[in-house]
Amino acid sequence: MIQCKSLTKKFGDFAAVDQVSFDVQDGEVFGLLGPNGAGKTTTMRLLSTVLRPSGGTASVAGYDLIQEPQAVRASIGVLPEETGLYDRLTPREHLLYYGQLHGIPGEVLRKRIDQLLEVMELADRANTKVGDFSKGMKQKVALLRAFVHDPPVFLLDEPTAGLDVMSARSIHAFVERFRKEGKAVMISTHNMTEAQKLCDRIAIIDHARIIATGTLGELEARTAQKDLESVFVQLVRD
Amino acid sequence: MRTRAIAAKELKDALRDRRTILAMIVIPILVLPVIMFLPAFLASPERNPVQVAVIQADNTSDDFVAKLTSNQIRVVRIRGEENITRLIQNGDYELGIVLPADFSRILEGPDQTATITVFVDQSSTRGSIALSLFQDATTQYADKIVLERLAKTGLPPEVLTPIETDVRSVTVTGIGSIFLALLLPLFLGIYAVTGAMYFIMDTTAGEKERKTLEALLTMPATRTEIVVGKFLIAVLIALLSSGLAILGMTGGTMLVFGAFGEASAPGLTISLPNLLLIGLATLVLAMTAASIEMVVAIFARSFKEAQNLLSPLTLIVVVPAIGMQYMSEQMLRSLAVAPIFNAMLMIRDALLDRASLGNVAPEFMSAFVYMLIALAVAIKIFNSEKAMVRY
Repeated sequence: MIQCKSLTKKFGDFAAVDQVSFDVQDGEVFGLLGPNGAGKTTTMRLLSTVLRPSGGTASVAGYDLIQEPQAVRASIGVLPEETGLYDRLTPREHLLYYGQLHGIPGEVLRKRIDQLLEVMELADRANTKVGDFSKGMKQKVALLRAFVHDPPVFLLDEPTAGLDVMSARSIHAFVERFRKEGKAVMISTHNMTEAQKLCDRIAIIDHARIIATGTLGELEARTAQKDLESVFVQLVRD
Repeated sequence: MRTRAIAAKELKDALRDRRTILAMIVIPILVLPVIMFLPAFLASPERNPVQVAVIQADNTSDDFVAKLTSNQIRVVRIRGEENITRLIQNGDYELGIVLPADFSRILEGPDQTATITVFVDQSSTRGSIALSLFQDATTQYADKIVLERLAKTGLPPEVLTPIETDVRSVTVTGIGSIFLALLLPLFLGIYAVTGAMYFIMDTTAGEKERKTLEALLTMPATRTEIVVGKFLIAVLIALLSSGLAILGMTGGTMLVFGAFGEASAPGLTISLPNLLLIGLATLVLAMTAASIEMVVAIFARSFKEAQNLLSPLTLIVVVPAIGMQYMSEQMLRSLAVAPIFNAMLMIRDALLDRASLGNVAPEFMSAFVYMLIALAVAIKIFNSEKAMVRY
């Protein structure tokens, strides 16, 4: 699970994330919704230990973000905003590399890679360099990279941005699978349909602060609106 | 384990990058021999004799013209002095000579001088070579005439040489080694510094730009493991590049000496301990350069920005290497612990077979300390959020 306590990140005098607090339970999909520049990606970067908090802290899978960053990294699967794949490596080589970084023993890793490539329907392209892949296929490889060590926590930043319907559906199917397997999943998005479809609870972030948290029903009741988009617009406007 | 995985991935990625291969293998092994050998090959009169246009006022200079002709000089008799300038400027001939009337009769006399007019374009390398060959041939011919004139007067030839010099070389190494000692520190230094530059830009600023670095930072590898993994491959590439530069350079030197018909071309003898010293100096230089370049490149936000930042770094090796050619031995010794100079002096000492413990110890120790400092700075910088993450 994830527990954020007054998490803050400042760049000089500018607060990109300001006193953000929320929990994500195991088996829960938690959506972080917000306009561009609201602080979604910075929050994700803080939780993945790429950035160090200026204030507050968080625990991820029971490990403290500041005290135990390496243990946190071993417990998370991250899908960044941009896939960040090496064009000259194949999907199999990517998974082998990241699996080795997670310390998975050779034979176990090879079997797991075969399974993952099969599940993501990438087995026939396993040895093709990803530079030749479509955005959707690259996103699938990036998701497998996040999943190769079977972590308890997932941080997915705009997981379906720019993808076609079929690719987006296969990503959604994986998120559903993670939930069923009891993983804590945090998704940053500004896609309302996706948030409505996937998320058990949603936090709305604007100008670096969380302005509302709850289930879709709770947010609708609070704003007297009937869909997430209207809820979002009203909260951000207020 | 993680450092090994990072290094293995970096090597695989680099070997699949055509630009890295070009910078690492093709340029050092091909460019140097071509740069060194091609001009010598093209200008060489053995392979392509110089063309000399000869205008004779009469046939009394036939003997001189016959002596002029050799495997390096092709003589073509032409008529009319008025076209000679144009013919040389057009490149039809490298040299034009005008022989005066009564040439042999002037030479037969006891105290007369025959004046030969020579037309040459001295801005052309082949023109200068032709002039030099012509002057050599003329001097030989003139010496023969002088001896004949002296014989007629009854004076011995020694009357012309009251003093002669007897030069005895104390150089222990072959001329090839001297040639290499001048150029090798320069090229080894350049390749140790620039050989991995492309790879370093790609693996730091390039990774940052393509967002692969951010994905890597979410892995359990520490930033020290990341920098060390990348550093090891950068050093390997720089060493490969330097090694290939030596091969290219040695090959080029032998070709150049061969092209001039020098028998001393095989004088490129380096003992095994000297070869190891050269390797050690190159290794330390490559490690220092890789650390400095990684520190500079990681601050760049893009590959292009890294290129702009790193390109001037070539000067840190070119300036000392060129400066060394003009410094006295005492001045060089006073720079034995100066960065870059130390490693280059090690290479030079080894090439000239002058390496002793007294020379090499301060050079190596100081180079090693500078390398450790540069690597420590690189590790510190890679642990800094500001350098690693593009906000």
